[in-house]
Amino acid sequence: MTSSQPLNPTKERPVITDPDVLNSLLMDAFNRSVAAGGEMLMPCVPVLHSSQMKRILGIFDALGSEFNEEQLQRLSQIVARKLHEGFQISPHARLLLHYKPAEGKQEGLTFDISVKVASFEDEYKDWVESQNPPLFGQYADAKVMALAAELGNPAEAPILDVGAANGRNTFALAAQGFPVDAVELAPEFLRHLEINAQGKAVTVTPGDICDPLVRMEPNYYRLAIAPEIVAAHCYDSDRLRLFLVKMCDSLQTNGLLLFSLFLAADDYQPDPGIRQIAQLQWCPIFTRQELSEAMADLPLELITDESVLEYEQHHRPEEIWPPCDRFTNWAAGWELFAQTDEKPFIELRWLVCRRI
Amino acid sequence: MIAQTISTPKLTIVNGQGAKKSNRTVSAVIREQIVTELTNKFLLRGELIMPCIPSMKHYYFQRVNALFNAFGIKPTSEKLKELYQQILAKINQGFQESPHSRIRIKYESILEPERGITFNIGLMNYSVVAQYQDWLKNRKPPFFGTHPDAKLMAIAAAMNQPPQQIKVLDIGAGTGRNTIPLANLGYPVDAVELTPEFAEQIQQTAEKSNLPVRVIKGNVLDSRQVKLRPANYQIILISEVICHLRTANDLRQIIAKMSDLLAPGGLLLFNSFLPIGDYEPKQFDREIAQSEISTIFTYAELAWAMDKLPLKMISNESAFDYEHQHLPIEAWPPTGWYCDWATGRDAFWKALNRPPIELRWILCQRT
Repeated sequence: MTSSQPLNPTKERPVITDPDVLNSLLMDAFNRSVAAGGEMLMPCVPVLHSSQMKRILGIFDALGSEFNEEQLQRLSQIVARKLHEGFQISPHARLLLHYKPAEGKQEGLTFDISVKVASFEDEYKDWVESQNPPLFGQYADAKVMALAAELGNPAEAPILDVGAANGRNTFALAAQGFPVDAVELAPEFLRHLEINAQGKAVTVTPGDICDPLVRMEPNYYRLAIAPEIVAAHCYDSDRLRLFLVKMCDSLQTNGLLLFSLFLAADDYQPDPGIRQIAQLQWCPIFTRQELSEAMADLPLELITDESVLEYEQHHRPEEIWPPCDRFTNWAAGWELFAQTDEKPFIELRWLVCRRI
Repeated sequence: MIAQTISTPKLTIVNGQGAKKSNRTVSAVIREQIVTELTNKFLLRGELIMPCIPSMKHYYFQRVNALFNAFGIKPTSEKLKELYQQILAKINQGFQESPHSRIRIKYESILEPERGITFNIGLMNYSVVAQYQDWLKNRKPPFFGTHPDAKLMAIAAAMNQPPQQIKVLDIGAGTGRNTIPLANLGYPVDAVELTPEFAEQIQQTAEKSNLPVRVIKGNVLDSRQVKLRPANYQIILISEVICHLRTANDLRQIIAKMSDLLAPGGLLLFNSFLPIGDYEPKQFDREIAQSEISTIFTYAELAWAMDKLPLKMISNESAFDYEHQHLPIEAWPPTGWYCDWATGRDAFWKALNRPPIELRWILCQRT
């Protein structure tokens, strides 16, 4: 029976006298009673892998948990895989790393690494909630009003407002006599829109314009506008193309589409890492080449491409400029690239297309 | 028509122009900035539970500091000082209450209005009773072994008197590992036990077999709770109890009290962790040993505790060696934890060589 006790003391063994050895044994006793549990929630973007691993390990180190090379490798691989998986679903997915003491007599930690993905609606809601005060302000876009002014008799020029939000464009247009159909996803905005639409030539359609079941009147509108929604939410070329297809369906021939999009400067080719981050930061980047690819073979012709900030600053009344600091930061691409005097790498652009 | 009217001086026709060759790249510095900023959106929340060891205060401070560093936050020195003071107060308080207390440091990151970590420092108290109640829940009996201590049975047998005439007091009787076998042999035993569930268990076993056992619940040092007849016992056993004590003062109190309860010529048998060779435990060593139920007393402290008491030390030997040699083979090891614990390997965790403390059997006689 004694042989099953490998640590049986034997008088032959020397008594330990080295204070360092004694200290380290006492610390081992201490450490075995240390327990750590908790969770870490982080953006789920592959390009952040190494910086997040560094942070994760720093935290575990602070908690007194050590990893051997093999465990490190494994953890790193799992995190990399999950970042990739989550990002494929949405740039706004989150990686959740849950840790707790290992069960029973095992020492160390057990992990549970999972991806949290919000529904598109919740994602949009998060975005809306994070915009306080509203990113886009209370006033109509000067560009929208300028285009509308060219449409002739307002009563005969129906307008589609996609992502109408607080209705700043919808109601300004309606006040000038335009029939406006507003599409909006967020319940808070919908309530506000519905209340204010009463007694006006305004209809409100709840939903996501890219939802196959949300169908607006075909071949009907003289002008369709999408001031922020595309720029913030169309994080890949397919989404953008789907949006454009829908607009082509709804617009009359020669009707105009106004939307905004972050375009890369012509001399800047964003790498995949920067693109991932831009998607996360609600400013997905398109190059002009990609824009024309998204438009390829659609009955659309791009007729203007100009800076949103410059245009609005020059054409809005001075007292309502800027709408808010966050808007200017966002539109200038500073959410992604810290403010520099240099020519911006990306910028929010007003794009006007004509339905051919 | 419409295209013309909306033309502005800034009009750029891009379609068909073809993308220019790219020549700008994001500098490494800016990239680093961007990545850092996003990594800062990291949220964490959790808790760190550790024994309370006052002499290790810098260790806790380091942990908290490392957490700040890992999270990329520099707290102001006042805030840090305040946090240190809170931690220090809790580990001191916790250790004083019980060496098994745990400090619980809860942390949670905040992003608004600025990035930071909030801490919540608490104590989890863990008394001896609570610990044994935990054993009842989480461990399988027998907790302390099935056989009585060989040393105890040897001194009882060596008295050469009918068991009925040898009154035994068992301090910290546990689940009756020593009490019940002695009573089965006819010795009248008074068993004192602090943990109510254990006391209950002895009571039931004794009643079932109609054994000469009296169970007293409570702390033996509390004379209002535990009433015992002075100058009454031929044998007093304090096995695996002194390892729970905190100070030399506690040790003197219990030995002094036992000397009052012993009949003239009666024997006091106890075990305690004592140093081997020239080893002088530091405060840190003592605190860790206490947290591992291995309280160390030096020979100087033992001598002080027994000073001027009517007791004479008869023997002092390694408890492990004695029990190993004298317990029946089927009774060895007494429990899964006994070998490591008795040889100081709980405090000096899993040492391969011999730790400088060990559990010793000390036998004294009332003069």
